[in-house]
Amino acid sequence: MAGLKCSAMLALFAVLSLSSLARGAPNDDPPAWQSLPPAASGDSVQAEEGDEDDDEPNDEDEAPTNPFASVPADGVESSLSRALSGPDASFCKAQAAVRDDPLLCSLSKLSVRQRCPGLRQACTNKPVESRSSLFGADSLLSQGLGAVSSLVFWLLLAALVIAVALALRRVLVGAQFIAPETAKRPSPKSSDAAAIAPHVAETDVARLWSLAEQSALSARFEDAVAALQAAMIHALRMAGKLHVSPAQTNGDYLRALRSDESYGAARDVFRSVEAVQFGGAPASADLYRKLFERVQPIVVRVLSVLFLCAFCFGASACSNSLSFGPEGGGHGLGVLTQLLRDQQVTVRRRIRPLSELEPDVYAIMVVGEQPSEAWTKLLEFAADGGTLIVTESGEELAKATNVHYSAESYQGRLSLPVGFEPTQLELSAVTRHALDLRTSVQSERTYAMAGKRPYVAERSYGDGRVLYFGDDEFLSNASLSVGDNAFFAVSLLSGNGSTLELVGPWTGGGASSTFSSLYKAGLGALVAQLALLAVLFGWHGGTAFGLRRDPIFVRRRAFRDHVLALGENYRRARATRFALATYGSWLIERLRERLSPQQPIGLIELASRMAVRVELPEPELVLLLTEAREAQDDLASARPSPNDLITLEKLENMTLRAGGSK
Amino acid sequence: MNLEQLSSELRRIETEVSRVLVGQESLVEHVLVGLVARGHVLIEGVPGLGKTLLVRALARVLGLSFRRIQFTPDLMPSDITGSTLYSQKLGEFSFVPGPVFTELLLADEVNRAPAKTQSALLEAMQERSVTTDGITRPLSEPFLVLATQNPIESQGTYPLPEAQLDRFLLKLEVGHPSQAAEAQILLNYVAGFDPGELSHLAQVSSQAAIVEMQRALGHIRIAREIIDYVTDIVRRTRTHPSVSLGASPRASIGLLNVARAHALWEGRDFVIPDDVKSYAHAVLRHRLQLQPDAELEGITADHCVDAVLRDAVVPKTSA
Repeated sequence: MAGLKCSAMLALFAVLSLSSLARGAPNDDPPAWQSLPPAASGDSVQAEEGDEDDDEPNDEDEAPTNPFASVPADGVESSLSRALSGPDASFCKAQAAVRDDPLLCSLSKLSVRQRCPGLRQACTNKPVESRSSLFGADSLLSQGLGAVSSLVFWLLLAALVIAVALALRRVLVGAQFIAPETAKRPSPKSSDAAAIAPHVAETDVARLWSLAEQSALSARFEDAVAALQAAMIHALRMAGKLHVSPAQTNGDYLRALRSDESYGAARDVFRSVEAVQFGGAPASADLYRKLFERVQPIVVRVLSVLFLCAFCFGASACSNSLSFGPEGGGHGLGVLTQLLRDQQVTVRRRIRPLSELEPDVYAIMVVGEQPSEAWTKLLEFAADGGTLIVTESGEELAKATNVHYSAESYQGRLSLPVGFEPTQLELSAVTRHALDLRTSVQSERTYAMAGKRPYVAERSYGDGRVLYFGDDEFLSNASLSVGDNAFFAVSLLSGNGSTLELVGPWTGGGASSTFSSLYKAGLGALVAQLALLAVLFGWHGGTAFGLRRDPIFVRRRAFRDHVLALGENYRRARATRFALATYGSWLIERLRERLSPQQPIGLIELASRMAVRVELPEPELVLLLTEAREAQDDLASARPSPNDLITLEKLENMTLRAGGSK
Repeated sequence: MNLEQLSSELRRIETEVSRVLVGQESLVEHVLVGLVARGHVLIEGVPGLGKTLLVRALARVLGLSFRRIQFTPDLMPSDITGSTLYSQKLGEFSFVPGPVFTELLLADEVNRAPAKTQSALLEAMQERSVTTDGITRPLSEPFLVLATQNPIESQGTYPLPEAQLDRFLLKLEVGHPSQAAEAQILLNYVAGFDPGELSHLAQVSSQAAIVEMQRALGHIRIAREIIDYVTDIVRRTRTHPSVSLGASPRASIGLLNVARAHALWEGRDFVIPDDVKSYAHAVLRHRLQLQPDAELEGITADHCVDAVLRDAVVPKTSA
């Protein structure tokens, strides 16, 4: 199986390479880099402007090199590079009319300087081998080879998919174990068995399943049944039915599955595997087959649910990105945004309403449909000197500029209008609309044609201008990777250090308050329900939702706490008299040692000395000491009293005030 | 009898005893496992849960002799073991056996007797013989002591020292029955059940069968991994931070025997990790001496055993 997959992948790669080679020769024109000047850095461009005649012969004398060997074949870099590497490396150099165009001229220089910083270095790279003339021409051979390659590619892809599906089916769905015909291998020694035993930390169901299969095919059935059991346990874990840990026994798992439908199968599997592992029962092919049939439904069921969930989640994630991600995907504007940012243009989405336009905004690009009041603001912006970039028709726009979008199916290469042919830009589009410039005015300019109709055009409006694109797809990420679309779009849209704002459905959608935000997010009803629930809960149970409690800190208790806890135990055991007798007599002895260390004294004398030390009435101390002594004398007969512990505590305090027990 | 027959006989015993002891199936199982493992059982529970009824019903169903000793502070060792009395009729001293000479002995509230009396019983439990006046008299086989103690009252009691507790194979904690079980108890009483009259219970086993079960334990296979698991559990009790004195090697032996007996109960001829784990609490809880700090924190021996079982890795685990 692995060999088949490897071979298929290699074949697929080979066909892909062949196909790309066959498709890499679009026309008869020589590759652009063959006539490229050797260096086109920013400095050299400035030199070219002042010394054109000297440069041209040098350009022709240079040996053909591949300046873009490090540039991806279909990347935006390639698009820009090809435009700049034609026979007329600079617009300024090729045509006086183009050179006089401040927009294209300045941007071509800017592109050379900023978009291709490694251009000069790239021009010094070693030339690559010239393409074969077989592929250099748009010959029938190359076209046929491309078609065959495409066919082979799809056939191989289909074969690969079928092989994977069959392998999955064999492993999971319809698999039946066939015992190997070879004789069973001799049982390995215990050390060997430990080495080849399934890894205890393996938790992947598919790998465990594969391990079981491999072990069975190798006639190591003890490992095989253990792997089968592990696969079942982890499949149930993935289904949320088990918590698996190294300290759990099979009995624990069975108790957790007691009310589950897989209980019976799991019990049978556990019993059989335990008999092998702990009971010395032989593991055979029959046992493996029997366990396989018990485990298979559980594993397949769990994996199917997981695959289904993953598929649904992935599908929803993909649909989200396509529908709601304006930057990413083939339809997004992420590439255009990034290219403009590389040209020092600040590109940002406009969230605030159009009524408050900042002065640094030089252009506004309209994405999607807009309400009529928005068009009013946008046209005001253009009339005040801004650049309005539109890709879709609008009623207000058509009225104001007399430019209509006509629905016209067109697909393929865009042509360049008169005056722009020397640029040799290769533009292409899949368009749904073309422009209908009904009233010709002097301040009108067409940049690209879709057939006979304008596709990209500019018309002045007030002090500013409106730039029309025949279709919003032209500026998408997918479109900009084709031909010179990227360079063309960036040339038209960039402005030095200025700000271009994207206006779309999100414009004016910002909330002015919290309530407005909740409403616009569609959470109003939910929050209202929660608030109602909180009110009802508070009404039902009172204002307090719970008692405030300080966090419990586990700390080590002081010895005094232990003594108090011990005293509490004495109280519960009704043995307070015993505590007073024993601990009281001990305290009295300590007091005697402290107050009369030389000779023994009686309680009266002790109380007298204590009174001097602690400044308390002597009779009170006599009473205290007497109570402690009586407790010792009538320990067997007297009933416990709640005052015993109080007396004991007083005596302890007296001892502390008298200097402590030590 | 083979293992399956022995297992089914144990099940029949449990079923028969459960006819009168409702809602205590686990207790019956544990006592029977202790009996097969040749151990003695300490039952801790409040009065009125049917401990005496259990022993009487067990004796009836097993066909074994039964005696009961109510332990009191003035109970003497000779009241348990028996003593030598002078017979005026015969003109000689003769030995009068005490209640310990039986097959099932209920030592009720064993902690109410002083240590000297307790030790007389414990010697009989350990040695399975009684020595008086220099003469050693063996006890009958099987010999099972079911001792009870009340966990609530502590005044006027003599708690069993750890060394003596170690002699008990199992310590079982009896809880209150469920509501449904208690309702069934009442229904039985309404139907005329008399706990003093158990003649309606059938004798489904015999002394010889019990002895055969005890001997069959020797045929229960124990894998090396199981022995490692047992020693790992017991060793962890000795290093647990809340335990000042862990379980002894006697506990390891006891746990292994109980696991074997439980395997027999299940009809298996080999021990699995679950046999060990499911009886770890009953075997270990009375053998652990906790640190004073832990006791003040409210930590019990069961908590420590739980922690030990959470850390001990089950052999050949799939995790």
